[in-house]
Amino acid sequence: MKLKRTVSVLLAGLLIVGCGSGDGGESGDAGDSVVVTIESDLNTMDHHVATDGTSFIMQSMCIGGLAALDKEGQPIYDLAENWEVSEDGTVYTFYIRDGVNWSNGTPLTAHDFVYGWRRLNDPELASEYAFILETIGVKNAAAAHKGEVPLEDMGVEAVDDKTFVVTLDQPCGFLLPLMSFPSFFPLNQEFFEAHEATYAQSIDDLLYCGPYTFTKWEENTEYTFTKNPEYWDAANCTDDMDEVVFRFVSESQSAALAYQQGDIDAVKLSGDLVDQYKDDPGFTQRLEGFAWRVSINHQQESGIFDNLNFRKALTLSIDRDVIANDVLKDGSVAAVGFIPMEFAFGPDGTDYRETAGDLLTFDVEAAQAALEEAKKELGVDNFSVTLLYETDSEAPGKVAINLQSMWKENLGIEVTLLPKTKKERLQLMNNLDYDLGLTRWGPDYADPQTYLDLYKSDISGYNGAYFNDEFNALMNKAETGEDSTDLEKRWADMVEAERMLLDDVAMIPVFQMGSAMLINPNITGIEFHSAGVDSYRHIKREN
Amino acid sequence: MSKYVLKRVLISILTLLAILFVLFLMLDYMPGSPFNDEKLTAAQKALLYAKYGLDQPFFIRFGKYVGAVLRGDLGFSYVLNKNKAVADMIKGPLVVSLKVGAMGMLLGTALGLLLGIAAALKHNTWVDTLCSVVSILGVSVPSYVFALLLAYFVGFKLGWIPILYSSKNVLRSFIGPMLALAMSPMASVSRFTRSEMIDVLGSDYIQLVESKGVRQNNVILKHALRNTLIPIITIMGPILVNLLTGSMVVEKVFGVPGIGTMMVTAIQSNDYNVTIACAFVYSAMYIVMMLIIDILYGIIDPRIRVAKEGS
Repeated sequence: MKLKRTVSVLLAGLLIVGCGSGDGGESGDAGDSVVVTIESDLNTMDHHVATDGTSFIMQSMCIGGLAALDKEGQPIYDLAENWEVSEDGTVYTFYIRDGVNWSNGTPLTAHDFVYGWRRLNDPELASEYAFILETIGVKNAAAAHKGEVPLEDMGVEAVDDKTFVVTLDQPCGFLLPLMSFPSFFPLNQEFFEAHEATYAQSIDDLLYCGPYTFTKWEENTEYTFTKNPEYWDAANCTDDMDEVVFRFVSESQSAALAYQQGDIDAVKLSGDLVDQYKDDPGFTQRLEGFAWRVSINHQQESGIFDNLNFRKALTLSIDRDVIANDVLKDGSVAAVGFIPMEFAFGPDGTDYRETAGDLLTFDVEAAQAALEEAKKELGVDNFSVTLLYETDSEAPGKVAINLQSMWKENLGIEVTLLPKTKKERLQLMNNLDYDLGLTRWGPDYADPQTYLDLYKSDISGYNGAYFNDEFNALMNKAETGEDSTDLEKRWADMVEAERMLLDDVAMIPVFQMGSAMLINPNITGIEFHSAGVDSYRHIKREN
Repeated sequence: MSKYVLKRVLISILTLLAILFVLFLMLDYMPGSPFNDEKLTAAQKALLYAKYGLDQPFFIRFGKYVGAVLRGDLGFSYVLNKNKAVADMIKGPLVVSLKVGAMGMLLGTALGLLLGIAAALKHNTWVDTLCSVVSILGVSVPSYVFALLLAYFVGFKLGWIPILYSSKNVLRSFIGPMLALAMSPMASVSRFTRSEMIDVLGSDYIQLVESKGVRQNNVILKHALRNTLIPIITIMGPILVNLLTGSMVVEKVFGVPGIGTMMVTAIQSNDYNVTIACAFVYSAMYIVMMLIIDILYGIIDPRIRVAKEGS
């Protein structure tokens, strides 16, 4: 009988545990709270070591920079109330807003920015984003990161408590929007030193000065942000949600079901769910700044990629519209150049792509003619190449299969597919151990330079060891040379440089990534930025 | 008995050490690096490797790691939760996974026993057929399919259980994952219980007990079930392995913040210390379970203990 009793007790226990108490409080119902899913988890709240989108989004919620981005991605004042740029464009003076305090009551000062920027560049911290100081050209940033000069010699200075001065080696046309990027956020030295061992590892080990404060940190599950009444612009944020909850769900299907049930207000859809939800009233598509391309290994042993006609045949024979519209169907668009669209805007405010025009065509006849030339020049009749792609997400695989069939059908080239995990793909490409590799670039700032720099021969990796003297000279002229002070000339140089790369088929652009989301139609104020960090800082619910 | 237990414990500790070594070696050969950003220059990578001591030779790193583990220090995360102590990181998820896993296993085993006994007693009737169908389904359908079906029908269509885990309502959130995880143990246990029970019920000593006029209930519970349990305890090990691997996917479907989800992410991002810690915890759970099973054997069937002590 003992056993029977044991089994009954066990079952009863399970039932109690299973049916348990609880008020069933699904967070999405509350009128003053909004729940947004994130498909990758929070990695760190330390804005100087963060490298991923999720972390950047959450840091932007509760800290802040000298500037923020408006809906169109243009810089607006945030913690700085004004800024001045010297005539030669190399000295930026930021005036910190009066009356801005950290969440512990300490006033925010220019010293917090100096301390933060120095820490970002500290070789001991070894931040993966330290390079960005060098990118904007902060004086001595590169030397200080290598340890050749002390961090104090960097071109950042607090003239007084409210004046922060940045000195550059050369003008930088995209510095102001970057001031909204978390790597450039301030850090209070006194607080940091008091919490150094555990800094940013709990809500109490952080200081806030943004529109929200971080109020509940449930690891691997939920991250809750509550409106900050002390935010300098709080008076203008009265309509914003009182509480924003980021919910980590890696399984897109479960997240979509919870959205349909009303537990969640915004969720990103994986490609296979797009067809299922495309008629939902909350279905939204957005274009991202990520541009996918086939990287060519210019050092490949057989030497076939040295032949311009062979490279031309490859790029001319791809029907990019089919790949974007029929294969991916997630809002992705066919590439018309190396630089994506709706991404960077010139000195006259025009989209870079409009100025630079469409540079890629699909022309099977021209492709076949180029291939015939290549065969003659190389003395080769049959070509076979490998195409490396990553399996971490499904889009690259779909694209790779279609590239394979297009090259086979239009040119008769045998393509062997090499599926690898992303990290393996990166390693193989870094070691130049590949023929063709499907890869992408996520831009850090809204300027063509972030893309074009990849093909300057002094930048390592991922360009397939491409080398073009003429291109290098042009880029140097635009970035640090005679055109660097004239924004219009610099822009024209960039357009020319892109054309140069594509004429030479340095790489094969394929598509610009889009993504699909379900967003509760009552929710407004989510701002997507193709370069920079998406903003949930002014999210609202309309009833 | 104590000599037997001591020997088992020692073997377990040695196995764990060997596992740690193999894990370390495998991670060393895993392609990629924790620092995968395309923008990193070689010099910066070198800086990061030096910072985390990854530039040192294998055996030095392994020696240091084992030393640290013995002091309870599992190192720091490089990617998942940058610079956070791994020991602090895995505590919460481990407890969650253990709770869900234990609930699934207990429920599955209990139901499996009941189904198996029922099927054996009603041998060759519709009850038996029904039990067989249920156990075949449970064995052949992977737990994540059950998880998806539960999430869709019971969670979404009927709205009886939450689709996603919520810390505001932990217990209700556990129902889905627990049911999904219980299927496989239930199926295995019921199959084994049924066949063992049929064998045992047909054996001479049961016929003797019955002929002595012992009541049916007592025959089953005191005599038949005890002898049925030995082979069932044997399969608890494989069941546990099934449960552990199944929990990774089931946790993902229901958004349960468990150690399975963490381990998969850690492997994908080459977060060495987190991967080793998670894999080690999984191995330790398995080995401890095997140890318990070994000891249980000794208790249930003294012949095994005697034989092993003798050898």
